[in-house]
Amino acid sequence: MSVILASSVGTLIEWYDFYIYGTLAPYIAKQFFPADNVTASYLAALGSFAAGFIVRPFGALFFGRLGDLIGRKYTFLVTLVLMGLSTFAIGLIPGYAQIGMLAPFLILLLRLMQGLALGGEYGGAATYVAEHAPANQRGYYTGFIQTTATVGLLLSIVVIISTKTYLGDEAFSEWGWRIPFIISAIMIAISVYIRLKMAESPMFSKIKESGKLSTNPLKESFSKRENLKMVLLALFGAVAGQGVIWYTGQFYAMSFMDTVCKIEFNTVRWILAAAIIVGTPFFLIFGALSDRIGRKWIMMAGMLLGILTYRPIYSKMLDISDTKKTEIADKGSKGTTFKVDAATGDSTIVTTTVKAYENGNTYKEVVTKKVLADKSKEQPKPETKGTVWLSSSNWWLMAFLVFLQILYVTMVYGPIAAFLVELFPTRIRYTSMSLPYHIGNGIFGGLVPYIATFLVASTVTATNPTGDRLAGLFYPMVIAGVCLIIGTLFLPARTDHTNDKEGY
Amino acid sequence: MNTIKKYSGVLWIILAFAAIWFLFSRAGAELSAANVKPDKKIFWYSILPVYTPLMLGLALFGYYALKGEYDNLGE
Repeated sequence: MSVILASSVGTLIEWYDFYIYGTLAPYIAKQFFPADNVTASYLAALGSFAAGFIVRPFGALFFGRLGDLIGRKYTFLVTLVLMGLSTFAIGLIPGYAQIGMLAPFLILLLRLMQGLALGGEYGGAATYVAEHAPANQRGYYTGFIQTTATVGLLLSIVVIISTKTYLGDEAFSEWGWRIPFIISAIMIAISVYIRLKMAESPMFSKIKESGKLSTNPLKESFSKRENLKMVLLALFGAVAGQGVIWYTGQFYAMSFMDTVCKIEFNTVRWILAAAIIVGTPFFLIFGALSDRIGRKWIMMAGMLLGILTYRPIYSKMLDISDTKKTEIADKGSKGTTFKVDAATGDSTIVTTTVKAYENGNTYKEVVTKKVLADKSKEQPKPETKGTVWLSSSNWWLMAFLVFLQILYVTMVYGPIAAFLVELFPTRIRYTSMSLPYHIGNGIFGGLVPYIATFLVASTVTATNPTGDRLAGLFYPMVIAGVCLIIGTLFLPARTDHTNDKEGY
Repeated sequence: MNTIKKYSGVLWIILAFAAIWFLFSRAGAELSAANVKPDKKIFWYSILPVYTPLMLGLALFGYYALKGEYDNLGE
């Protein structure tokens, strides 16, 4: 259990570091990506978020090779330090207003370093724990490592909400968003201390002593047909589908509540936090169940459920937060403030309208109109920001709908570490399992919010200014569908029989 | 089951090349339009170099399936 705890803490912190960037994307966009248009700056930040994902497979190759050559322990110690330094540095970089284009460039660079570090971390942690675990309990033991990604996201949410609540909206938006990045340094220092005390994996030590280490893990993993075919099978038959289910259930659900449902920032994060807290034990439950009945059908069932229920779930999420419901006329309010800039003579008119609805929700719309004193200039368009507060019953219903998605995540993700470990021999395991994992999660999965946002934007027309708000689900459903068919046809029902084979 | 696996290989190869064709034709149509927005350019210039090799990987998977490489993995 101490092995699991020691490796899980470090992995959890790495996930925390990686996800605070995604969660704080709108704040980072404002500070680092110059744009007059909020959507464009949001996309720019989301783009660099995607860059952090795309680079993950390269980290998998680089650190995976190291892990198979020099050992699991030292490799995932290096990834931890690299991640910690990059995250800490993001918190210190001056904004675009201070150092110009150097600011977005540095942010992108550090984000890429985070991606590289994460690419090396996960495979090491999963391999390390699996190689310590009893053969018949590999799913259960690696289930702990599987909780770290979700708990890391939860930790990032808790730290962000606490900081935002303590500092207030304005201070958080100005400089407070840096705190979650900076405090990561303390967590990383603790994790490094714990990991330094860990011993090397017994299976790796055994093959090292017997002189059976691979001399070129990259070549052995990807140029030998018998291994390359398993890498492709792992990717297209399991991890790609697992990746899209994971990122739809957690990140797209959050992005959807933020940008499409327009639910208040903290409310969205509390809903996600509640769903994660209830859902997290299921990683262990499905991990342990996979030791009894095999990994395959649990993962396939998770994908099938996602494909069948995403549209009704997201449709209900829209319905819950809909502001076209019947309004309670006497519970609304409207106010206007007027401010003149003494230096320029420009005036700003802010109109705040609060509406209450029969379903218990409240909607606040703030329209900010700037009127330039110089009438010869083109007057800027008014900015409108709408925020929905859910009633108590709708809050719980929304949390339940997100929980369902987290449950699918636990089905596909709980058993997958053990599945991947069992697919490849010890001598090239770190390299071979890391690449499909990070392509599936980093690219197929990590790009879900990015591609889904793009798909919804593609359906916007003059007659339909909101577009088809469920269009974004098309991408994860298609990828999970292809993966489900390939997995069902090709994956062996049991992979744990490889435990006793020579070299495994 | 092995026969289904084998013949499904053709499906994966077709699907992979169809996906590449779809991505390039859609990108071509959107990027050649007048006044292309920067977010569209960012999108397509990141998606094409990432997904094309992945789809070639799917085609290779299909080829291996067709050759019967996955026939004896166990049920």
